[in-house]
Amino acid sequence: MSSGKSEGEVQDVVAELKDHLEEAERAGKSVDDVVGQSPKAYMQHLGREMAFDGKGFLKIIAMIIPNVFAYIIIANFIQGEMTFSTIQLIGFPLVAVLFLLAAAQAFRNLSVRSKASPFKNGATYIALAAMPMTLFLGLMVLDIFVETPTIVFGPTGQLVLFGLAVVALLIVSVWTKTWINLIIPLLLFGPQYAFAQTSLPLEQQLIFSMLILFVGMGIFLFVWWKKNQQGQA
Amino acid sequence: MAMSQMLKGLLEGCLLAIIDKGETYGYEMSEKLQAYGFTMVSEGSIYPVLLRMKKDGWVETIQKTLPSGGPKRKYYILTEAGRQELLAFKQRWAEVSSGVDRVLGEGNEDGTFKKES
Repeated sequence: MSSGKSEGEVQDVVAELKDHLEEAERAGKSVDDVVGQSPKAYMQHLGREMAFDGKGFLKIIAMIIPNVFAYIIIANFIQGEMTFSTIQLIGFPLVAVLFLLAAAQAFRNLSVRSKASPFKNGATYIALAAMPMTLFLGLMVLDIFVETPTIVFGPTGQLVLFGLAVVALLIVSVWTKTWINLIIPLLLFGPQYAFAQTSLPLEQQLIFSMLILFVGMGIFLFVWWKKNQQGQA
Repeated sequence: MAMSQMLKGLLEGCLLAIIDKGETYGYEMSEKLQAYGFTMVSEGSIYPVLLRMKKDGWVETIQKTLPSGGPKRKYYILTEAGRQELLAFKQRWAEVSSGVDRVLGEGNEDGTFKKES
């Protein structure tokens, strides 16, 4: 996924190679016989023949963005206060949209000249990655120097935004077919919220929240690892 | 010129010819290649070539379930474009191979060239 190749295609090739190796093994051949070169060189050879899956990559990025917004909204909701400057309110979504457009364009360019100089490709990635950060920084600086009306969301507004955030998380969770998108915010924010209702001192609240978060993550990762092991057997 | 360099362009055409004889899958193809005398080709080397040919639209793949059960197997068939490419390859090979034969055949036993009269 991170190398940009379509995951479906990769799995397909792996399955075919596995099939071949199994049959070769039955005929008494070793893996070295089948793969004429070092496995790493062979994999690179195959990788070069697989196209860069721009669309899939873009989908992943497109899903991360609503996630980020959801987290921001939920975090604010727990504090019980949602106050944004107009610059923030308009600027953040604007940066997100611009980033998506830039990414789409970049991936279109990359799939066309994927055989071109690795330097150009690398530069494109770096520029793309730097873009949201610099834009956000710019927004923050702007926010400091330019006075804009602040927008305060009252309790109903907060609930509405919170609902939207939850819906966004749910949609991403369904799309990626994983639970993790729901589990992480639950573990992250759930305890915080629950403890905020109690009258425990702040440090204890934080400590317990963190504890539950780590234990919860640990359990989740363990279960997930177990499932993967069974799948491989 | 090293063997691998010599084979680079030829492997595609040979695989097309093998697939032309009937739908087949990876392991079977490499076995056939060995049987035809291509013992210098490692079995795994056909897969990058197959991937490229699929991308170029010369072959198509179909997944078939085996009667013995187990995971589906990927079979390759030629497309119309693939068949055209095979014809073109046969033509190119005829030209090149006859040229090479002639060049090599024009020489003396000790390897020197006959002088042009």
